[in-house]
Amino acid sequence: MKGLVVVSAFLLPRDTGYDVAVLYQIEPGWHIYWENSGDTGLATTVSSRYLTKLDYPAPQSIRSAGGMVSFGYKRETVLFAKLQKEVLQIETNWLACRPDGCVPGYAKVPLKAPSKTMYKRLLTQQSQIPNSTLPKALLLRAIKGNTWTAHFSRSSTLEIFPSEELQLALQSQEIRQHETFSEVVLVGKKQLPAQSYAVFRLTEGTGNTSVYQIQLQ
Amino acid sequence: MFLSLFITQLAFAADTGKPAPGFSLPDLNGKTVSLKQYLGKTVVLEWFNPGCPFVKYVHKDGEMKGIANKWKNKNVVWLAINSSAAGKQGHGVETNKKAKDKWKLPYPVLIDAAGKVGQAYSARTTPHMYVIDSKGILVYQGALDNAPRGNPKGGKKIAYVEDALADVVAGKKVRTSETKAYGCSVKY
Repeated sequence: MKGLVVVSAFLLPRDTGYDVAVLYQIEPGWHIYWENSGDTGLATTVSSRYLTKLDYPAPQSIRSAGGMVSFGYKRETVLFAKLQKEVLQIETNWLACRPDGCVPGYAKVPLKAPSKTMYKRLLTQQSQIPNSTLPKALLLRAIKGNTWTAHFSRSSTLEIFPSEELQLALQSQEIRQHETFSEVVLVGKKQLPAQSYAVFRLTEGTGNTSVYQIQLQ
Repeated sequence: MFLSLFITQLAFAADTGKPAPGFSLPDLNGKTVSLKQYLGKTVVLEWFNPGCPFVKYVHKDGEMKGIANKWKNKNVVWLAINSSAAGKQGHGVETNKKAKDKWKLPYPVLIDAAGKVGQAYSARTTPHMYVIDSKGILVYQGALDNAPRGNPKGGKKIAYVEDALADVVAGKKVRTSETKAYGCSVKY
């Protein structure tokens, strides 16, 4: 089973805003999961006594038989962690799945300094961490009763990844393409938790993508 | 000014607080088991797949070991349902018989190879758990606990299913009625 997911951890220079980058290299055909694993699966986690923050890059949707949608990563992903204190190693748990089965994984990973090439690769991955400032393309967001509405400029293709709390509260989720804007409508079974959030991936006509974490209110 | 492009995604689910979808399924000996025969009792449904590591964990070392016997004298019936389709992981009477023997499961494993009951309940994972009260109302759906493979989220363990059972047996409103299930996907 070893080798299905290979994990390495790198100590980053301070100016990246993070202390540690955890790289997961995933066997083709398999995937691991985002912080909200979606309909199935289990979140990938990093732990250390001194961990203060863990950021996940925006995931992709992974569909399985029966209409279930999970959120996760294929091939390669990097989680970014902030620590209170320097450590020598981190621990991580993940669940690797493919359509015919799952294999849980755990590793203690010693930290090492990244090579120049690796450092560049990690910085590229860092751009997939959702930005918490509101995107310019967001024209409106409003919460009314059980419904959350947001309008984005029309040029973008939208993908939505609800947080676990939000997913649990959702009754339905729609993206409506109007002539001049795209409308996202999230309807809750009851009042939507205003403090919950979703991650959005916006792809412009040029193919440029950016990811945002947007709180309902 | 409405363009025809219209993408809808709906999260289908059995509704908590509403009557639980009825079913009749064969057990491993071919005997039919119906939900309605348990009216008057509390019923726990456990989505099952002996090949899934989460199912293995809870039955071998974990939280599901002996749990059905613990609640038996409180008028609680336990039923495992396997919705693995033919040719997929966990399918087949023999495979399930072996698992039932190995883990000494004192309750039936029902075979839902067409996945109809799984879809009616919107069962997504193994183990996805459901609690139905004595009037046939679905009162809990989601995870067994907050501790996948023994690791509690946030450090403190919450046993959602047993909490729900304690509340139902005491005639109280279930404190947490929906959580997000974790585990392998149901192999529809």
